Amino acid sequence: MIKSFLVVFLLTLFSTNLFAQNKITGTVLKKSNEPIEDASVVLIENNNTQISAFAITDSKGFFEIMYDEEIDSITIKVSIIGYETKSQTVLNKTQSLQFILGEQTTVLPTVLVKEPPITQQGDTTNYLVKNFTDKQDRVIGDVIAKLPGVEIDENSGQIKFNGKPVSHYYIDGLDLLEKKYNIANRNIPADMVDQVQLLDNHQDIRLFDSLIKGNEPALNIKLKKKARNKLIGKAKAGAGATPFLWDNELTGLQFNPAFQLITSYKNNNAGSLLANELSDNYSIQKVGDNRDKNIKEEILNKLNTQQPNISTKRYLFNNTHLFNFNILKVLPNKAQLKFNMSYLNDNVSNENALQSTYILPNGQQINFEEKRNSFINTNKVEGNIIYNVNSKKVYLKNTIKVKLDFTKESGVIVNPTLVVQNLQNPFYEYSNDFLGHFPVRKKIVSFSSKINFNRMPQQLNVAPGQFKDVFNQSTDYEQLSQKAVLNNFNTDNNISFISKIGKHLQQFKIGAEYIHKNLQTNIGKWYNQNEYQLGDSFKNNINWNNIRLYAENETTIGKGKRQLVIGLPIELNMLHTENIIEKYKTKSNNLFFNPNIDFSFPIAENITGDIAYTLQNSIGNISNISSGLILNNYRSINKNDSLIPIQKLQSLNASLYYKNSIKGIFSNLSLSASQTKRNIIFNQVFDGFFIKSVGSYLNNYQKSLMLSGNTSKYFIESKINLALNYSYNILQSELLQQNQNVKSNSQIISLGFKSNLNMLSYASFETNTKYDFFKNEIKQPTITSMPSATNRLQQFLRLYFYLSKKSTLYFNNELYKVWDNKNNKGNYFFGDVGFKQKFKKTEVEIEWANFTNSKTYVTINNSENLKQINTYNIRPTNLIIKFYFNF
Amino acid sequence: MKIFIAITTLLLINVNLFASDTATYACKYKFIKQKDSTNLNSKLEDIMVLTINKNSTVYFSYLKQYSYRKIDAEIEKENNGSATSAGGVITMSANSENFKEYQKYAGRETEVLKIDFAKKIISAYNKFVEDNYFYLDSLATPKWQIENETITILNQQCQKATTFFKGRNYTAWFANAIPYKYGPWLFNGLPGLILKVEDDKKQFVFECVELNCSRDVTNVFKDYKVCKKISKQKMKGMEKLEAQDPLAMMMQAGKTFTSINANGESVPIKHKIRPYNPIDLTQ
Repeated sequence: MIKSFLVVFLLTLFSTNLFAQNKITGTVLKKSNEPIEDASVVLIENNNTQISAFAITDSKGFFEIMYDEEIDSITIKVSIIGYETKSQTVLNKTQSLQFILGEQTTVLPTVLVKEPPITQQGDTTNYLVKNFTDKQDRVIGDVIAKLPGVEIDENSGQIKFNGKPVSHYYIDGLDLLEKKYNIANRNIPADMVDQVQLLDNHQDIRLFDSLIKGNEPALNIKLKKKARNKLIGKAKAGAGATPFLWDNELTGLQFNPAFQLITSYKNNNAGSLLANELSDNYSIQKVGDNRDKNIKEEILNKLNTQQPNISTKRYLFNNTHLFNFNILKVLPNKAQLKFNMSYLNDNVSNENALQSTYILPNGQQINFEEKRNSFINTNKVEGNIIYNVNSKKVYLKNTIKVKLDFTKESGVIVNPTLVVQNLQNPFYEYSNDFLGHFPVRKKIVSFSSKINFNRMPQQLNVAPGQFKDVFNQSTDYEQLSQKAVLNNFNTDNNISFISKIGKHLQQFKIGAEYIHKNLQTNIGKWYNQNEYQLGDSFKNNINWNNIRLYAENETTIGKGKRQLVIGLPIELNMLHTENIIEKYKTKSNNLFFNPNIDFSFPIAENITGDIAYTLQNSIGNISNISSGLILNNYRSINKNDSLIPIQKLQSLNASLYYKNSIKGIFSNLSLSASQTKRNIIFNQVFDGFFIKSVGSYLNNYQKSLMLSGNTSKYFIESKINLALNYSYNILQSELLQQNQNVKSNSQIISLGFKSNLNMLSYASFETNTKYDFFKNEIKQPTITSMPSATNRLQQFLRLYFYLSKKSTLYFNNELYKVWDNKNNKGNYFFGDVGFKQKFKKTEVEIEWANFTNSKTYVTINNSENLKQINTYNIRPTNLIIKFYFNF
Repeated sequence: MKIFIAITTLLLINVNLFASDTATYACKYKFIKQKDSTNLNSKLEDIMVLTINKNSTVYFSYLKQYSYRKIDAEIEKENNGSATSAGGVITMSANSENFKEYQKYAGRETEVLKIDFAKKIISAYNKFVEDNYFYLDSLATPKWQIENETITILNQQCQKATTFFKGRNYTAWFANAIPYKYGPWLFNGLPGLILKVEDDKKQFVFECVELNCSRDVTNVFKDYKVCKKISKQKMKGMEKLEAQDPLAMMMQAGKTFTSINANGESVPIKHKIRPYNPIDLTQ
């Protein structure tokens, strides 16, 4: 060591002898003469850019540079953060220099790695919202609809992630809205959201974390910091003509870690459909899931008009008020309290002309035309209170729900004489759901208790009286008044034990459900302004008592991402019915075995597969067993003859999922086959346009085979999103018409292609093309009627031009083509043009809608034996101006 | 011995590692290290952050800190806002999201270096099993040879400088336009921020990938709040043991392991000695 040091030392000495070494010393000082430490002092040879020697000033601001090249002049440059940079060109000789630097802000370079728009962390896919937001997107739902791999159903608002419906929608990790997440999608501004996260195999119950893998995806929206912890207000005020149009909104939002609020009031008559903001987006995974048990099942209907599949703002003549109030409070000990309520007042009028064709077994057809004018007034109040504890140690959830629906409908039909229908169509529902999971030793014990009561007192008045031969010995009469009151009380209680045995998870459940229903109907006939009750054959008073005792053993065998679930439920179904009018009782006991099996497995790194089989036996509904005649609407009566309907559904489903978030590719394909066996068939007898249907025992089958899926690819660099969806469905069913057995075969093909192009800074494009094909054949042993086929093509093109940072010009173009094999066809074009200008806190939008002034729109719908051509009135050309405010 | 324990216990120090809202500048380096000097395929990538405060720098693994932050948040969520659960026991199931996250960042640098340039003192913190330690060392400045070559890194013109430091030959590239004398790890003393540095065998490569990224580094290591002071020699010994035989390290810390063969019988645990390739060859 010492030796080498000596050598170096000697060499240094030697070199100094060879070259003249200059020593440049100096000090760097502030203007106040204080020394500046840590300044970089570099020596640059003239005509050069590289540094040849350097020094860093010490605490006294002193520096010393030794330099040994033979050059005439050199530059000394001094720089340090926070001060000006100074350089001085001097002769190359030993000297002392002084630099006095004035203070100056130094702008340091910033180079940040661009965060990829989509990232994957375990089972979580993160989308950076700013990468998917365009200037025209206002609420987060607009952005979610464009995320690669995510689709939102246009009607219900249901979100699917790579083909699977989303089970939970969280806002900053809190589930404020449960199934009514459309409220969040339509009210939270897109610019408040930082990330949208999709969690695969989400398990919402913490107690089950790492014990039971969830099989449904969940969505979480992560808000930006600036959107948290303050009350945010938004308002929209819009007015237009003609006729006089308005469109107003007022929204309040607050998101704190322990408190969330979304409240809004909306009102418009410009065709914005608000009712589906309240849709319950259930993600029904298992066939036979009982969640849909308590929905309103209308017995009487005044002939519902099928909605056309174009934007509601074109055909919906409405006046709608919607008020929404949702709060969530996080309480200590992992508890949460939620309150949600909504009030909807919806007035919709509709005018359309309907051409119906029933294809009868003997090749005969029944054609008739109806001109309909209808008005629906909906008044609906819904509220729920939810208390939830979700910790590692316990899970509790109690939901109290009240739903009051006072809907009134009226309509005038010309067919060819004038018929007036009035329908009182209310529905009242009260329910309480309790679910608890508690760990007891090494098991988890769960209790579930559901109680629901609902009541539907319907009344349909038809004037003048129809079905003269049935109701009035073929003479004219004033009015028919059908009443139907359905009361439904049910309670379902069960207890289950979950335990882990080795690698298997065993879930054993026993429970009992009691369903009591009562249906009372009667028909009144009016003449000379007096109502006369019709006899017993026009009345029903039925009690339905159904007890289900069930036991289920579910085994989950899981290893990594491979999981096999085998469910073996067995059910004793006891049904007692009592027909009070005809004074008889029935009893039927059935033992149902409803096994299900689900196997999910990884195939390759990004591919997973899933195969599932389900068998579901179930018993029908009280409305199926009425013996007295019921008038469903002015041209249809129904009689069931007290038959107990039993159905057996088998389904087999195989799915493949591919997901590569880094490359932005999402794809899924599923094949499902199902067969439903029913023991009752309804014989439809046509007498002109009057339909009588009578049920009788006859085993019949309905079969379906469906191949469907979608694929999307996002090009990260060029910001192009392409999405394709496809489905092919074959349906087979058996019908009884005019006392003859017929088979109906249908084929449905639907293809869709969506694209989003956002690569340009001055414009963006969205296209959506849909093609549907429907073909139906009625088969009898001897005759096959000519198949009917319908084609429908829709194209949407939206163009946005960003004239400046704050102004946007846009065009909406919608093109529809519909044609069938009977030479019916229609071509429609709708166009809107609009302009948006942003100001500091406000935005103005002017839209000229339907500038081609299209007045009608035609749809062709096919079902088994019915074809309907519907002509709707379209809102004429109109201009609307909207102001948006934030506060 | 007893006295020694008493002293070390007294030396448990509350460390405020990051007063990082005062960080004036920060940058990120991609750091590739070859864990086994004889195996070119044993390279591990990490993302390191250098935060620059007035007269001091802090250097740590961004990935490791990120994983701690995630796990901390998760544990906090589990325990109603307190960072440790009852009894200090944190259970992680092998299937849990936490554990997967944790594994993803396993092997990333746990050492945190704080350099006080005014006092010329290095404070080096590290975590072994569940305990945190630190030692103090004096700062050495490499002797740099400036060369004429230049390259561009992140739009910055960088000039070459070479040195022999801590037992290895390094080539560094510094940006004079960013007049900081700092760099990754213990490198310092050039008239501009070091944006890239690598040894001649390319076993240790640091390359700047982000400049002025202070928004990413505002969180504090909760894990390193309480540290025990030990000697540099002891720390290096522990680092070596952890790299070569992590199981022995865990057992030393009082963890017990049993290994069961296919018949369910207890068998002695086999220790596998792994390669160790420390960046500092002078220790």
